[in-house]
Amino acid sequence: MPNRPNALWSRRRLLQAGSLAAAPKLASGLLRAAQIVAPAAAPFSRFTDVAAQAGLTQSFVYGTPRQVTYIVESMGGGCAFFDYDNDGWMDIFILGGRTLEGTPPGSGNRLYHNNRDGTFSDVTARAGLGDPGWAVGVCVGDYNNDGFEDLFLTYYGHNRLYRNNGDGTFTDVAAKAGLLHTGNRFGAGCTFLDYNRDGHLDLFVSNYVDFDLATAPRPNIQVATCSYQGVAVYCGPRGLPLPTQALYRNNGDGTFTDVSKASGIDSVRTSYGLTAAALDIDEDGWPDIFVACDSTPSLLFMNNRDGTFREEALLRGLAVSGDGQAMAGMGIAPGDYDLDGHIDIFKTHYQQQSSGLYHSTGKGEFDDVSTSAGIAVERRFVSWGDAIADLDNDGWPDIFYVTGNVYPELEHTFAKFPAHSQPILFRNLGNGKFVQLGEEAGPAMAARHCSRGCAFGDFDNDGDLDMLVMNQNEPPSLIRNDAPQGNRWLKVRLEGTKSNHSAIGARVLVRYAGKVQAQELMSQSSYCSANDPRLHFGLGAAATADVEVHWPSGLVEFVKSVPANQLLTLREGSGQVTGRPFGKDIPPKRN
Amino acid sequence: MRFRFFIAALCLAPCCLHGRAQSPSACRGPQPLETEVREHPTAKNWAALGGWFGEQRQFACAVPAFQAALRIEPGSASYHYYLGLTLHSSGQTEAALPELQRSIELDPNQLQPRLLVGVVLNHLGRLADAEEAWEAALRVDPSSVTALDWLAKARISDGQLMAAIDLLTTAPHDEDLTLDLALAYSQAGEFDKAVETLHTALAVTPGELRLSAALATVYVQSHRYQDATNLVRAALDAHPDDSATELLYLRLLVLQDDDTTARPIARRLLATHPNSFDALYLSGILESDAQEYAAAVEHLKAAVALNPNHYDARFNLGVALSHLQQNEEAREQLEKALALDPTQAEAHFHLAQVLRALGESAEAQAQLKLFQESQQATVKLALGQTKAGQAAQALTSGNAAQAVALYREAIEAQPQNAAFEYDLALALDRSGDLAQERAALEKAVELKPGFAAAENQLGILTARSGEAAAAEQHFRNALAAVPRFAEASNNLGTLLGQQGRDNEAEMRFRSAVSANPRSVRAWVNLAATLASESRFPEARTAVESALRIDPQDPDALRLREMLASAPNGSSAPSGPAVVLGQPDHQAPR
Repeated sequence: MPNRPNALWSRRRLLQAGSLAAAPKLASGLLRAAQIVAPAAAPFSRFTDVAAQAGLTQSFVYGTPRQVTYIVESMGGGCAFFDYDNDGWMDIFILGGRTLEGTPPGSGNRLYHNNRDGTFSDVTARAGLGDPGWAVGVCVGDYNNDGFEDLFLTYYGHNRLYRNNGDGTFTDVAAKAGLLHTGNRFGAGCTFLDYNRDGHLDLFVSNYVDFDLATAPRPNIQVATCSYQGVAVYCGPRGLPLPTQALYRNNGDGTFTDVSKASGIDSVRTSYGLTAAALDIDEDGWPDIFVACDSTPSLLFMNNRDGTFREEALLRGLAVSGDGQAMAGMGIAPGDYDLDGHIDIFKTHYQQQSSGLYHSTGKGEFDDVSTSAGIAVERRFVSWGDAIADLDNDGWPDIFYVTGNVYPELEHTFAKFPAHSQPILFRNLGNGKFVQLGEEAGPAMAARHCSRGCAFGDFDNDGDLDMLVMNQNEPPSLIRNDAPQGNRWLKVRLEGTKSNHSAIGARVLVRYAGKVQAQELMSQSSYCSANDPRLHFGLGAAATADVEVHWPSGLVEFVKSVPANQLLTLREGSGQVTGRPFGKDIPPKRN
Repeated sequence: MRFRFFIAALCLAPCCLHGRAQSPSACRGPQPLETEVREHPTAKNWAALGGWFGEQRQFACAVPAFQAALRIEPGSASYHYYLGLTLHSSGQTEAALPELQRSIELDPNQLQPRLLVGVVLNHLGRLADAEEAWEAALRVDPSSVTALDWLAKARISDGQLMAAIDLLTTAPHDEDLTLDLALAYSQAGEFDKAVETLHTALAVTPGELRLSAALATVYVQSHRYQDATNLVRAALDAHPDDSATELLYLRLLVLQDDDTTARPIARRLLATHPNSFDALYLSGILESDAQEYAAAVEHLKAAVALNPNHYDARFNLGVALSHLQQNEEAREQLEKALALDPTQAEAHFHLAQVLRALGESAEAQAQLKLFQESQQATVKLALGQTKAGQAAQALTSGNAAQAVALYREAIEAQPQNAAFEYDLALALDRSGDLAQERAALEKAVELKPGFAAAENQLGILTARSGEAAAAEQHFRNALAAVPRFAEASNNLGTLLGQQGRDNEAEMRFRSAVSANPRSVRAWVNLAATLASESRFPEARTAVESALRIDPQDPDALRLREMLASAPNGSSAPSGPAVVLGQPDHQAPR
């Protein structure tokens, strides 16, 4: 496998050396070149997988590692950083699966409690979250506004709504809540959102394919949709029946009403849905829903503010690539990479496809800038969980995503399609362009896994963003970020009062050093995963920042000159509050 | 006497015939020959002069020379052949035909005239007659590679893939025939067999370029792009100066987005072949990928000038122009591309973007709608194909009921797909639901008039239910669509024989075995018909033909036994083994 990142890096150095050797009259050109390369010359983060030391040693069963017969074995699962016990430390939840034959030991999901000392304890059994099955996605939100984050999990089969009981345990209340459906569905992405702005979190669920294990087609070299470059592989999603998506309105009493039809959501039957992200695309204060879709146009449900939605992905430049190709959309990473105050979207795709960077024009429309931004150079691997996040805290959000093939059979025939592959990192150069980094960013960048979900959060509360990665049939990765010292940061934690308690849908603008960065608090992003709800902003050298919050209720609040390097907790209508503890000087606690 | 001028080349230049016995004043042969003709105007000398003119491609001079020879020896099969050859080479194809036919009449055992008759008939659009001519050639020389090659190609273009495969699997080893067989297999969707055929040939002649190119093509058809690339790269390593192979390699690299490897090759090809459509077109694509739009436009414009009807060149030119904000020109190119192929979704997408840039929002919306419809059609196509693939598997494993259900789902995804209706019919036949089978077949024919296989199967069904007139019409419909459809010929012959129309039945059986010499049923039916007319020697020949193909065929064995005990003049054996054929999954669709 060619060492592409190092080759690029070496060429860049060669170009620098060449320019330095140029005649004096080119000095002005050299100066401009130096300005452009300066950000890249600064040290970047270093990433180390500390999963083993942290106690995350259990493999996650998901299908058969060497040969996949059906698509259901290939798509899971997501993971989450969330603080289930409100102690200020991010706990970990990872979705697992099973095999076609059954549920061998170790199947199912796992909840790990953060011991606050760099280690975690498996509390799955006590919590009641094991439940082996074909789990795919997780979204986090306090649907009953009781102050404790709940979980919704999608499955092939039936989804689960786990109510957080506040005592370290969870209860599956999907049936009681009215979230069961007839027959099997292949749930994939999900997101809590308050689409009607009544202060209660509603729920959107994306479905992947209309699929029945009992009658599904098998790998077949004679059928184009069941083979890949001459190798028989699992069929789909192309060639499998299309599903509809689902929307449930929160009734405010612990139950939901299926409004898929009434909202217009289920009238769209054109795409194989995966990750779902709720965000305010047109910045009108009402959440919209973007669904990354596989091999079909992605979907953008725009909120009509009257309980209905209209699908406009194609009109707004998010359905297909800039070339009109329906990509294999997997993960969604919303973020403001160019610091213009508008949220852009990065979407992971398939092998031999570039991932997509869609720049927001600020008018609710997007342009595919993958090539001009320099990220289209990478198209080797099937790509999954992702984020636009400032990993080195220099004030410019970077791009990170994990990879792993869907066809483990291919690597026997094609070396260029390995089953396991490394994560991908693009550093933001601050000029609309990115440069790819590799092993120079630490040993974790060279480790190869069959990854799926990836959650971003600060598990060690040291002021930078770490990554949790779900790896199929392996233990997870917990990638600790050691960001460069000297770069400052700010985390913003929100608590809704009139808005939903989780503040999902809140839009935050942080201004620092003449820049403005927008983020939204989401229930799901990456690949079917949920991130640390403390919005993280790298500030670079800025010592303070101004914070502007647009609450889902419509209230807008400002906090000026917030000192850097702290967790700012804001309660709707009350401003800054003490909130949950943050920092390393809290005693460890094991459950 | 043989002449080396290339008979397959069509000379379209007008020519004039000189009817005089002496060479026209404009025609001057070599002095010795001219002298010989003047002093000894024999047929042989005239023919020699004609042959010389033919080799020089002076067909206007060759024709009167051969005509002169024939006036002296009108009974010469060879001279009629040479005259026919010359007339065809000079573009007088219609005039060539009677000369060639006369040559055959005079000497039926000649191979070359029969071959050339086929070519002439093919050129005149009389495809079925051309095939008959080559079949006749094969009766003269069963191992004639030329006859086998042309007949196979004709059958392949006619959709008679199984007949082509039958013909070629017992043919002598020859590269052209191997390529034909691989083509027949790949068109029949049997890519594994196509690959195996070509692999076997390449084992004998490793690195042979035409075989390598064909195998690469089959790999691409079966989405084995990396295998194709590896193969062609190896061929190129062995033959680095072969520009056709280099071009194929470049195409594969572009197909796989390996621009890094492709670019230097494209540059080299363009430098050495600056007016090559392929070099210009592929360079344009690579430059567009690299966002070098000005260069891309330059090269793609040149490509389009060379081949204005190439959809992809126009499409890519339109896209490159749009990147340069030359929106009016971009619009023109994209609209022309869509005129060439309106089914291409991406062209609608790009045209929408250009129209939006030009401020034509309503038209842009319309194009986006077309784009969406095209995308949805693609998804439904994939769904239908997957269901059909599953159904075929179910049928192969004996589960006809499941196959029926799956074909119905395929049809739901693609209601206009006649082939799915036909496949459903076959599955229904297997499950014994003849009424539904008939409905499916009728639907297939409604969707695709002239659907020969479906008409044939309808004929079988209606014949079995006693609707003789309807059956006959269906068989005739099948044969009208595909005149060399052996199965339908056999079936029609069977029906006619059952009605006592023996002469016509015999003709149909002969047509069937001519179209497919390996059709045991047709041979047995022919034998039975001949036997019923007391034409025992011919009947015995026919039954032996059947038994050569299948020595264990019970009907053939029974008939042979009957014929053995029926000396000349005895009454015909009773109960001919005349049966309708079984549904042929590989029949022309």
